[in-house]
Formats: sequence, structure tokens, C-alpha cells
Amino acid sequence: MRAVDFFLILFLLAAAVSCDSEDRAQATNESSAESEKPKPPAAVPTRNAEIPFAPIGLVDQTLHREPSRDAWQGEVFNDLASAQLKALGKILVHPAKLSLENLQKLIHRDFRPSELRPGGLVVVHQDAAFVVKRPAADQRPRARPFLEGIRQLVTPFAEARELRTEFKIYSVALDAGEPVSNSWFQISGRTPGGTLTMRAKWRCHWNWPSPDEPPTLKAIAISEFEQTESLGGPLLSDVTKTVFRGLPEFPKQFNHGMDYWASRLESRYGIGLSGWHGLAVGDVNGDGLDDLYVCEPGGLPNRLYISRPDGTVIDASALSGTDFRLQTQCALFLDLDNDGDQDLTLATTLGVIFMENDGRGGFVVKGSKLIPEAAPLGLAAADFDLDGDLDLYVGCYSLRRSNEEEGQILGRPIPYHDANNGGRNVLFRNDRSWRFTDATRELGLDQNNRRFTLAASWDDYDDDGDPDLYVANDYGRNNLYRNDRDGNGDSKFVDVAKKAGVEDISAGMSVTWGDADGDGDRDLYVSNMWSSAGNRVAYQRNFQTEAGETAREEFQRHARGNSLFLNKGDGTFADASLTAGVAMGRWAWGSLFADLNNDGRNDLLVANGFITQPDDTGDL
Amino acid sequence: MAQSPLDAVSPIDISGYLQNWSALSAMIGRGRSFSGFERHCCFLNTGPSSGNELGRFADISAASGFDLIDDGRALARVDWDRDGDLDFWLTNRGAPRLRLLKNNLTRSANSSWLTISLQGRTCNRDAIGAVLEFTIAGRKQTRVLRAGEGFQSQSSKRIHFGLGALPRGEKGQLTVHWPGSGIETIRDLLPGNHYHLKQGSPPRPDASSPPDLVAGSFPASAPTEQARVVLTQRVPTPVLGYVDFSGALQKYDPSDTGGRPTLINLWASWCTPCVAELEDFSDHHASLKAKNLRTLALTIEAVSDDGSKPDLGDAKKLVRKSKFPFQVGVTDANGLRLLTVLHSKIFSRERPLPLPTSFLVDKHGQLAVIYRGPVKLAQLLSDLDLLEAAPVVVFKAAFPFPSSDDLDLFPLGELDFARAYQDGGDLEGARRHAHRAIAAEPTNNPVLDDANRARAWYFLGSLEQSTRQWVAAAEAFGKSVEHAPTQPLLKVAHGAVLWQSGAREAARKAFAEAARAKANDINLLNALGKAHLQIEQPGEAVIYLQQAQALAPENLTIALTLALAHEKAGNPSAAVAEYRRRLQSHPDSANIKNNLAYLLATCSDPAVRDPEEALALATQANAAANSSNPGLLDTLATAQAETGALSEALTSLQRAIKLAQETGKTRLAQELRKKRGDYATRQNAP
Repeated sequence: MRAVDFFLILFLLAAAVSCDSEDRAQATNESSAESEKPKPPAAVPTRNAEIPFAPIGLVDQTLHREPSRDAWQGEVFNDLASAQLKALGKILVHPAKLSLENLQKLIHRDFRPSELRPGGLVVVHQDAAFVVKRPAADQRPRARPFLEGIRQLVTPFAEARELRTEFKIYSVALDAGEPVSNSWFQISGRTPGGTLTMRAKWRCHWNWPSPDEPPTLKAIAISEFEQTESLGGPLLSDVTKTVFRGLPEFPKQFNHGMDYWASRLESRYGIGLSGWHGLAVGDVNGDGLDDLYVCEPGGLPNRLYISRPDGTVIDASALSGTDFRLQTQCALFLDLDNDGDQDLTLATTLGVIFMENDGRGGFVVKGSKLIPEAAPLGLAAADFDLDGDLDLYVGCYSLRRSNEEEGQILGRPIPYHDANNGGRNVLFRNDRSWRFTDATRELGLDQNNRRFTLAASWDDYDDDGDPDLYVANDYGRNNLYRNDRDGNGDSKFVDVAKKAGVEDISAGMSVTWGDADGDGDRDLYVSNMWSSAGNRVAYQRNFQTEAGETAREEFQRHARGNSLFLNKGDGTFADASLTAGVAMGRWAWGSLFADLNNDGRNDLLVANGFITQPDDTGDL
Repeated sequence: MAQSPLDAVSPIDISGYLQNWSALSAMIGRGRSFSGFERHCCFLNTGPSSGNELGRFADISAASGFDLIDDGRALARVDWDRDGDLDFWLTNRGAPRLRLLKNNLTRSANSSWLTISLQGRTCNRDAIGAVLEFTIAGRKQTRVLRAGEGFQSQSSKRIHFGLGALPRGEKGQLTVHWPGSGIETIRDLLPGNHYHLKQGSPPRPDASSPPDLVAGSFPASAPTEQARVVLTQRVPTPVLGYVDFSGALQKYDPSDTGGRPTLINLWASWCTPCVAELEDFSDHHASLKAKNLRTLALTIEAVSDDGSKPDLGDAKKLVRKSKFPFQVGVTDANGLRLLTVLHSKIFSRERPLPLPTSFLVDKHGQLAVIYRGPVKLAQLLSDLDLLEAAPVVVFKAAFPFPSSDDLDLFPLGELDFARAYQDGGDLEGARRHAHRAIAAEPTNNPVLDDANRARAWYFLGSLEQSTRQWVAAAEAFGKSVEHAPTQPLLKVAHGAVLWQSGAREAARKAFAEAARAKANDINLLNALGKAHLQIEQPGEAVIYLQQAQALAPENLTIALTLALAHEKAGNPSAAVAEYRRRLQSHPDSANIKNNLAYLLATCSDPAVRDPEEALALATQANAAANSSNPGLLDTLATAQAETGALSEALTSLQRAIKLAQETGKTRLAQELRKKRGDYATRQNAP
């Protein structure tokens, strides 16, 4: 029997380390020049008649659970160093007020001159929207004393507004006499001409004589420095309010987060905190304009918004018969019966629901498919057998829960880094006339099919004319199912993820195919969890000491971040995540290839953030 | 996970690990951040570095304005305002939960673009899987049309090409690889256009002018603890002990409500809204009493978090002064804990109870409505009417937005799961869940219980029957009959499997009982006829079906079954006569023509056999069905083969096989392939 109680789990640990620290209101040590975050009200009742109601709930001990402190001294150090860097960040957002005095508590008197912003930047990219500069390859660093270095760094921001800094420590080493931390640094602001951002990796050497005292900086070495300007302001702007003009129900439903609704709707309707609700874009009424379907948690109705030529929308949810209050995770607009309109397929707790479009945007349920072991989560469609109709792959995350586990936000992966106790995914073959047959087993798709699937997407990566399938799984390895069709046109799928080099052992959250390098074939971007705490802890020597080196590496790989796999054209892929600089997408969810600046190259967007809470209880 | 088990482990090994998962879930449920306050990332593809290697992407998260601090989830591409650049829809976990981010690129920039939507003709109509290669000014880009990518998202089916800065008048060329349906190349496409391309037709530009969407997001909703929650599933209220202001020990017992609803209110004398609310209850006591409401107002001032000695002085003063006309008292920590736990069990996001909080309990002692914060009198009065209202009224009141579905119209039972397992080919799973349905706890409605058990046993019987487990099927159908003895159709099903299992006497008895149960019942006679066909007793089948036909002479289904029975009973001429008679009244029926054609083509009796007429009928039937039914095509092939036209027969079979395969009829496809082999052999024979 393994003694597993030696270590507390990683997240509990990161939580407990941080929750005592007064100053950690946010996960990232972010400072803003505009305003400090207001302190939330205290969590115990006060005799203040002005506060209408104060919480009187029970304080649970789990919130204050402590890890074994000695085992994770690195985390203690991280907390102190993070606080120092955050303090530095606060000073940097006021370039005019820089002085040696207010920096004194942060630097050691023997600070070794360092270079914080390289001179001789060269333009590596320029288009109508962005200018990107990096140090020239042959540029020699010019070290300066601390104050001078800092001045040089922030001078370009002298006229900037809304200045923001951020430090995020992702590894610490206490082994040497001088503790060393590696972190991401970023400073950005709005300039008269647009925006300006500088970012770099900071490798900081510290002086830390006593565990009770904050460490002080002894030297800083920067790498991967990059300066980005946008011309004429940010490229993207939020136009939601304009689009939903005249729909008073919209802000009532969507301007409240999951915490609001999950504390007002009974959990038995399947409303949880994770917020895994998708959306689908498609032209529902055949007017050439894309419309929008939004999936909602159990208890809130799904919404169908039909767009008008002026870009605003009307709410057609009730009229179209699609305003289900069922817990709905994902939707696809597909012409399933090839009659020229967009039918609607929904992944709900009751299974997959198939609805037919009457040609004018009215929908009727034509059938449903219950997947017994798991509630479906993600949908991806393709005509895998090339018979002229669309088939449907359904990703299922975890097994249906017992009543006792209901309402728990997390799955229960075993083992964590390579879990194979999730829901079984299903391929429904379209047999026409709204008949869909579970063909998972006969097609060979039941291999490695017990994973915690969060996303799947089809594309013909091997360019043999039929679509193949990539499946991104939480807590472990992913699948690449190659579609092998025989002479009769019968498909068999083989999981070639390992052979193709795209197993990507980590917490897969989303997958997007696209041509990243412009060579015409399909590359692959998989979003994962980039956890600074995970990076810090998984690389320390006392992490999972009983595990073999392979398992340790797999744990470490887990926290690395997103993966970009370039198609080599021979059935295998090359991992370009780190060289392309696209690994650090934080706790990533939706990701997409998209040509943002119309230069013909696929850029990448990553939506992230797991759970943000206003309460100052520390980040797990 | 620092203490995750490393591979397959025993339950003892993992219990600690699982406890930690639960603890972590609980912490999140109570409002802890977990990788929160993260900003979205955006990486700019700056093209190849030295050589042809993909270079480093630039981090334009802040520069693009995409770096929102949302708990982002789904993300979809679309050119929503049709101005030639990509906009993005996003969903979030927190508020606002939906955003459209508009791309301002083409506002000023000199950048070209082209978009195209596809319509398949010989491939799937959406053309999902199409590969598009656009070449302009010597540069080629490849994009693919997909349905479902990223996380829970479907992007627009309109494919967008960014073309950078181009000389005026430059035209491009598009090559489309239609999925499984060939390649098409379209020349002379002009940048700056939204095209629509139908497979095999010239492209059509769409000329609608883009709207100008003004930037503007919704202000964040002010956080509030105030809530009224109407429960759709009421839960038992705990017994609460408290002390009244005379110092006597009292008890609220939900099993002894005296048939009255109760409002349990939590207050404190230092809480201004609490006091105002109590005075409101007091002022309108008569109207509340008229609704039979009992009010129990408990102060929490005896509970202290920090171990300090409670001071009830202010509470006592208030009670003495206000002379509330309802019960008031003091709760202890245990009472508060019971109510807190009751409250927290209902929601996946636990909120601490604010003051005041009230619980409206119905006359059965079941919690019906929760008020966090003060409740207005009018609201309370109208909610009292909800307590005894019909479920549909409660549903309407419980949900914040109307919806055309009613959640409890979609209950999931064990049999639904059993059917789903059967669909997926997991018969063990199907059996397991059917047995769970059978073993379900009895309700207070024995009639319904019996019907549900009969249904579950029937499902199980059909399941066994489908795999030819006749004995097990007979046992299950027998049980079904026991639970629904007045259903003769069940007895017929029982009889059929009894026969197959070899219990012929019992089978006859079951059939006879069924037949006796209802005289002159068409459905019953039809079922008996079909059952006898199934057990290969066509003689009896003919008798039952003739009786059925006598009751419904025009019923086509019975007639076709009867014709089949005649055929099986060795009387093909009677079958032919039946078909011909029906053909007179239904001259366009492809079914009748098909059955007759097959009989005429294959009958061994020379007096009946007529391959030429069979061919004519089968040709008509296929023409009517647009040659899209593999069964009809098979009959045509048979007639063709019998008239000696083997190569035509092979062509028909080939089409039938393709159709069978496309529509998932794999067994039929297999049979047809075998037949194709036979014909090919015959064709090659001298």
C-alpha cells in the first residue's frame, strides 16, 4: 500500500500558503495606478446599522487548512518574494515618483547593476495595427544601477495613462546561497498614440537571511524582452451593450455570474460554479447574417439571438422553441438533414437533443440520445464516412455523480496526471431520417476512451481526404484518432496520439486546428492549465518523491501550459510551444486560431481564468 | 497533485486523495478564488524567423485589448459587423457572462480581406470539412471549415481570409476541396467581398453594408446578498430548539405544525432592517394571521463567533417595548447550524446567511421559500398562496425567466438509462438499469408502481428476445404479465417467446388466454397473427389475420401481413390475389408493388412466377421512391437477375449497398454484398 498522506495536494497547498498573506488580494501581483481594490467587508457580523445585512454563516476550518510548512519552504519564500515584487510594481506605475527612498525596502545594498530594458531594440514586426520590437541579436547588455535601470524602463511610459504592472513567479530555487526566482514581468499603459507594453522574464537573485523577513533583490537578469505598441488604441472593443440594445432581459440574465445564479437556483437543476457553457454561431433564418445561440446552466433558459442588418439582435428564444431551461453545455448549428437550413444540436444533462429547423428559424425536437454513464459536454461534427451527411462526436467529461457528489465542481481523476476514469465519449453516425446510431465501438473509437474530455475537433491532418479527430482531455493524455477507410469505404479509427507526438500529457481544455506556419497543412493548438503554483511545486525536490522520474516529469509537464504542434507532413508533429512563445496562456479554456490583423497569418487567442472571487480569501 | 495515486490503487489508498478533492470542491463552493484574476492572452503570429522556421509569436494581450480579467470559457470567430475583420463572441463564468468583441482593424487600416460561405451539393450541405486554398499575389493561404472547435464553441461557417496590403485591382483564386466530392477552382475573386459559393455554381458576392457598432459594455451589477428563492423541490425542515424571552425551553417541530405554515425569521436587535421587518410583521399581523401563518422570530444574538459572552440586553429591550404579537425567541449555535446546513445543501454556491433571513415552511413542515434579506409583506402574502398551489404555478414562480419547457417534463428514469445502454450495445448495462427500475422503492401509488414494473419487465423481455435468449425472455414477459394481467398484448408477446423456448403448451395457453380476453379486437388479432408468423405457424396466422381483416377490410397493414402469411403457408396464389386487390385501391403504393414483385420474381410455383411483371412493378416502385430505398432496389435487382439481366442487377445492387451503408443498415449491406457475390459468380459462369 502506498503512503499517500505525506503530501497535501498541490492546490490546497498553494491556497493555504497564500491565504494568510494580507496583501494577496489577487492571484497575480498586479498593480494599477488608477485605483486600489477596495477592501471587501469583513466576514463576521459587525454592530453597524449602516450595513444592511452582514453574513453570519459558519466559518469552515477547511478554509484555513495549513500545509506542512517545512516541506514547502519554497512556497513560503515565493509568498514573500511575490509581495516584494508587487510592491515594486506599485512603485513602477508612478514613474514620476521614482526615488531611491521608496525602493529601499526592496533592494539589497549590494545590488549588482542589471539591465532592465535593453537598448537597441529592432522592429521585428510592423503592420497597420501593431509594432513589435525585440533586442537585436548582437546587442550587448548594458548594466545599470537599480534606480537608473528602473528609470530607463519606465521612461517611455511618462505620458501613459492606466499604467499596469504584473509579476508572476513560476519557479523558485532555494538550493544556492542566494535564492533565485523566475517570473514573468509586464508593464503596460495607454499612450497618446495607442498602447505600449513591455514584457520580459525576470530572473531575480535575492538576499533572504531570515525566513521571517522579506527578501531583498540582489540582481536581476532579463530575457525574452519584448515591446509591443498598438497604433490608435486597442484593436478590440466590447460592443455587447450596443448589440443587445432594447433587450432588458439580457443584462438581467447575463450580467450576473455563476456565483449569483448558483446561490439562487437549486443545484438539482445542474447549476454549478464552473461556467462551462458554450455558444454557437450560425445563420438560423437564412438571411445571410450569422445568429447566436447561447447555452445556459440548468434553471436559466438558453437564448437564441437573431441578428439584424444593423448588428443588433432580437431574442427569438421562446418563439423558436429553443429556450430550454435544461442544463446545456454545448450547441452546434448543423444541417443534419441536408435540406438547406441550420438544425440545432444540443448537449444537455438529458443527453444530446436533435432539433429540426423549419426553414424560418423555428425548431422542433426530432429526437434525443441519452448517454447513460455521463452527461455530454462537448460536440464536434464532421462527415467522417464521407456519405454526405454530418456525424456527431460527443465528448463526456466525468461519470454521472452520485447524489452525495452532486454539486461538487471538480471531477475525481485517478490517477491525477493520467486519469482514465472519466466519461465514455460517443460517436453518433447519422443514418438519415433523424436516426443516429452509437457507432463508437464498431469504429474503434473506444480506445483510450475513459478520459475527462473537455473538447474535440475534426480535421484531416494526414491529408488523405477523410477527417481525423483530436480529443483534448483533462488530467492526462489526449487522443488523435486517425480515420483509416478501407476499400468499401468503411472507417476504422486508430489512436495515434503517442506515435504522432501529440499526446500532450496535461490538463487539456480546448483544441483548435489551423495552419500556423503557412505551409498548408493543419497544425494543432491545445490549451492547458499553466499554473505558476504547479510549476513551482512540481519542480521542487520533495514533490512526489515516491514517484518514478517518468511520473514526476508527467506531473511537471502538466503545469507547462498550452501546446502548439506543427504538422511535419509525415504523420507526426513537432512541439513548437516554447520556441513560438505560446505556452503561457495561464489557466486556459477556449483557444482559437484567428487572423486578427488580416495579414494572412493565424494568430492565437486564449480565454483563461478559472474562478475569480471578490472575497479576499486568497487564490487557491 | 502532490498526493495523487500513481496508478491503479485500492480504495483505501485513494480515500485521502478523494477527501481532498471534496475539500477543494467545498472551498470553491464557499467562494474561494482558484487561478482567478487572470487576463486573457493573445499571441500575434509574426511569421517565419530566420529560414523557414516558425518564429516567436508576439504577446499582444494588452495591445489588442483582449486581456480582460474574465473567467473566460467559450470563444468563437465571426465577422459580426461584416466589415472584413474577425470579431469574437466570448462566454464567461462571472459577470458579464457574454461579450462581443469587435475588431476595429478595417476602421482605418489599409488591409484587404475576403470571406466566403459554402454550400455543398454532393457533399454534406454545410460543406463541413471543406479545405479552402486562396491564392493572391503569389501567396497561398489554407483554411478549413469546421463545426465545433476550441472549448464548447462553434465559429461562423463563413471563412475569412486576411490579405494584408494589396495593390488595387489584384484578383485571387480559390480552390475548394469539397469533402469527399472533388476539387473546384474559382478564379477572379475580388478582395473586399463576401462571397457565397454553391458547389458547381459560380460565386455570388453579397452586397450589404456593414453597420457601425458603438463600443459599450454593461456596467457590473452591484453585488447583493438579497434573494428570494422558491424551491421546486421542498426539503424537510429540522426540529429547532430555542428559548423564549421568559426563559422557557421551546421547540419548533415540523411534524407538528397543526396544519399551519410557519415563517422562521432570524434577526438581531442591532440590525436595523431586521427590526423594521419585525415591526412590519407586527403591524400587519392580522393579514398574516388571516392566511393562517405562524411566525417564529429567533434572534441570533446568543451565538458568538469569538467566544465572547452573549449580551441579550438590547434584544430583551426590543421585545419588551414592541410586544410582538408572534412568537419570538433566541436560537443557539446548534439551531443556527441546522438552518445554515439546510440552506447550504440546496445550492452549489454556498452563501453565508445574511440578517435578516427567513424560511417559509409549508403546513407539512417542508421548506418552501427562502428570503435572504428582508421580505416585503405583499411578497410574503402572495407566497403563502404558493404553498398549496399546483406544481406548474410553483415552477413559474421559482424561475427568474420564463421558458417554454417545463423541467419536470423531462425526468430521467432507470429505464431511460437502460434504453440508452441498449442503444450503445451494452446489454449488461441495459439489464442492470432495468433491474434497478424493477427494484425501485414502492410509492404511495400501487397502480403506477405495477405499471412501471410491468414496463421494466417488458423492456427486459424484449432485450432478451433481441438476443434470442428465449427462456429469460419468457420469464421476463411472464413477470410483466403478472404486473399487468389485464393487458392481453403482453400475453401474446409472452406466448411467442414461450414457444421459442420450447414451452409450446404454455405458449398455446397464453395465446388462448389473450384471445379470450377481448373478443373482436383488431389490434389483438393482428398481434396474434404476427406472433404466429414469428413462430412460423403461418396457418394459425392466416386465421387470426383473416378475423382481423373481417373487422377492418380496408386496413392495408393487416392485408400485407395476411398476404405474407398466405405466402408462408404455401399459398402464393392467395397472396398474389391479396396484393392485386390492394393494388386496385392503392395504385401508387410502392410497398405493395415491391412485395408483389418480389413474390412474382422468386416464387417456385410456375403458375404464379412472372419475372417480367415483377421487373415492371419493381421499376415502378423504385421510380416512385426515387431509387433511394435499398430494399426496393434489392427487389429490382432480384427481378432483373430473374429475367437474365445480370449486369443491370449488379448495378442496382451496387446502389442498394451504398444506400444501406450510408443509412447505417450494416446487416442489410452485408447480405447485399453476399448477393452481389452470387450474381457475379452467375454472370461469370458459362
